[in-house]
Amino acid sequence: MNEREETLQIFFAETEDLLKKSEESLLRLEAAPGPGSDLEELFRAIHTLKSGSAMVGFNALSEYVHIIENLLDRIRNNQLSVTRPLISFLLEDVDFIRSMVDRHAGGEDVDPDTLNTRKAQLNRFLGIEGVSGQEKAIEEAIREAVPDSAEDESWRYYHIDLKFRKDLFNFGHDPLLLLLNLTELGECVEVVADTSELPGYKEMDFYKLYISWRVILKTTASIREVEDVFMFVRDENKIVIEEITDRYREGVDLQLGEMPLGEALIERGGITREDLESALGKQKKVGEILVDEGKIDKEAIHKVVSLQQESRFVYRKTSLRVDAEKIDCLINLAEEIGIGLSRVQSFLVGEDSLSRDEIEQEIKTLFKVNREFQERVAGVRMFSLKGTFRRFQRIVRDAAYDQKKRIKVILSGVDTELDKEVIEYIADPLKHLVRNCVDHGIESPEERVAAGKPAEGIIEFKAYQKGGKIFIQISDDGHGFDMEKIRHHALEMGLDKAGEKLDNDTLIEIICHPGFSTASSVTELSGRGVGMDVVKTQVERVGGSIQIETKKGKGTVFTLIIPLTFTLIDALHVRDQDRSYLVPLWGIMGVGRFDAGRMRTFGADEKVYRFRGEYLPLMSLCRVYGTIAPENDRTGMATVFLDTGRQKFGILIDEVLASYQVVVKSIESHYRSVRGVGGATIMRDGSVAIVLDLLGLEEIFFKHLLLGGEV
Amino acid sequence: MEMPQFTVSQDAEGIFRFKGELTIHGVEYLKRFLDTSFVRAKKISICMADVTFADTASLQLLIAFRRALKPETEWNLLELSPELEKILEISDLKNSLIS
Repeated sequence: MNEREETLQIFFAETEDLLKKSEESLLRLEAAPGPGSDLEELFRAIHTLKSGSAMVGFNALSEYVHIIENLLDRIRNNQLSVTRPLISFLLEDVDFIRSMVDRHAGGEDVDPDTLNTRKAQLNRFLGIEGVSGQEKAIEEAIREAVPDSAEDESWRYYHIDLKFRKDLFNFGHDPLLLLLNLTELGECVEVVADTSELPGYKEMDFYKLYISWRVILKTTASIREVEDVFMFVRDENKIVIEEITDRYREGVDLQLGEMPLGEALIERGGITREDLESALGKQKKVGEILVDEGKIDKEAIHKVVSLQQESRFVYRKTSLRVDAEKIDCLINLAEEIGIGLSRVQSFLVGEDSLSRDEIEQEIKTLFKVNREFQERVAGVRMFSLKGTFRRFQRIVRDAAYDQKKRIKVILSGVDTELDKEVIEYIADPLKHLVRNCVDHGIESPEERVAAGKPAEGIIEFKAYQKGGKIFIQISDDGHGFDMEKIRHHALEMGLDKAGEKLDNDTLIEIICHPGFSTASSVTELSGRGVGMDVVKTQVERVGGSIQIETKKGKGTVFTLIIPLTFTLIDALHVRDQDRSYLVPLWGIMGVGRFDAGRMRTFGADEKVYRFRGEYLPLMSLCRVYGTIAPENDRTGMATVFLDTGRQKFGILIDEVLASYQVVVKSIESHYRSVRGVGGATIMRDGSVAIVLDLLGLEEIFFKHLLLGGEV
Repeated sequence: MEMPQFTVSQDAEGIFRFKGELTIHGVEYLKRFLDTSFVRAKKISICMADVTFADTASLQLLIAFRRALKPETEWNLLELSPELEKILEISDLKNSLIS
């Protein structure tokens, strides 16, 4: 990768981060309009994006983002109100910028027509709503005062910054004389003296110069002629002369209109940046206003602010770019492993006279370091679900806006972390579920009110970890699935479960059948008869499962149960029929020796095994997998009892060995997907062990049980 | 101390009248005058009608002096000469001395 490509890669990664942040800020801004930290964060993101895109030479993008920046500035200065249409437009802008960046990434230029159309729309916000009546009047007055004349065409405008060295007087120069010389070239239309460096009367050295100036000169002179005025002082002082004729139309500085008042005052009004920041600092924050009004106490405000800060900090950590610190840590650990291995090698070739105890200790340390190394490597892949959830918030917001529905989004457990690859796998399925909730779950405000519900519906995204699984719930308080309709469709599609209660599995089977849809209308979002089958397939591909709970009139809860990571798990090594298996520790309730005395028979010959006060079904692992028929004599066999979060059951195996942390390798890419098998790993002795997929195992187990399996 | 190129007189109303050019060569003199003449003054009035030039060094001294005054002290710079008016306009220092 050459330097240019490397720079672009960094730019693309940063831009995606900035756009995500912008999107989140916009959503928060919509909920709490007006100047504040969200607006500032948004402004910073857009500003950074503008600079970044200019730096990599994407000028069209930079110019476009600059217009957005101006618009945000107007909001900052209370010159433009935050409205839903404006937020919608800016959210569209985020998408538009993303598409521009994508085009750049693909080596294509931005379509000029589309760009111009967007620019025109953006300028309408700036032009129509952005300028207050007073400003308009001033602009008009200026335009009227400055006559249209051909001579304006020959005028040139120069921006001149004059910051002299403090001992300028010692060389016989005086800035005043230079300013007077300038007036001989033309008209100084603006002169702004900066006296902020002037010390106190008692402290000042009156032979030193403390004042600097900024001048805008209107002249017909060339830049060389202007430079000549400063011929004798140019080298030792900071004299910056820039032609800015393009900024002027009919003698009016157009850029001034785009500036926030504060910046304009700095440029023209003679206040310093410190003055401005001090004034801005005096603006009351929303929290202070609420405290003043007695709506909330300071403690509560601080608590929420610290939560916000923590949240933002955590979110920043979830960047796709990995902290250098993490990498440094991995390098250190890799070095430690290297040193340990060298020591062991020296011992083996007889170069080092280590005692057996010492070498055992060395190996023990090596394992410890290696374990930390593996954990940290896995940690690099872990990202919080915050970004994903926030995207869904946007989807809900846009869809609700389009469909004139009122929906409140509640997020919880957004800091729950998941393997990046798993997140990528499930993002689309989740998006589909979200769209389903908006489209078919939440009713229109009128329908809701008629049903005695609040006009505003609720969609909740919730994530939590239980064992080695992540549970992601998307729920709505809408009208729930129409079970009669589902039954009717199921009948039509030959999925008839007549007479049977529609339990979770059956419901999923019907809903997730390819081509199944209960939607009476097809919308842009869902109801096209595709989707849920894809959702199920995709979730299962990552070793996950889906649950649906629905209540008519109350709503629907979709729960995705997803493995934490593909790569690194703690597992119990067991042996059965000369095969090695690894049982993920997260699902193990306990292990023990098989005791025939604990067997019980219930009802119609239903045999169960008593374990810690519960009666659970038990089956030989080899029978579950249909490998070799088990011996009838189970004496000495071991039991492992499992809890998947859905079901509890036990498996019989020959022997329990030890627990390990293992790196799971996919067998799918080398062989094919096998139900109940999560992957494989290479054990320390070089043998291969199968890693059990407990949710898959559970399904096979209970299927066998229904078909008359043992115990 | 260099000799100043300006003189100061006081009229019957207590107004000080500067005459000549306020330049870096006279800043020490100017400073001494300011320090001694207005120590406890509640009102300071200086007529600048006869000041034909003021350079940056003297202007910034006047500005610093004015800033150091107590809020209750009244400061009046009266009758600017056309030359001084132009200098203050072109240097954007008028507000710092007059308003």
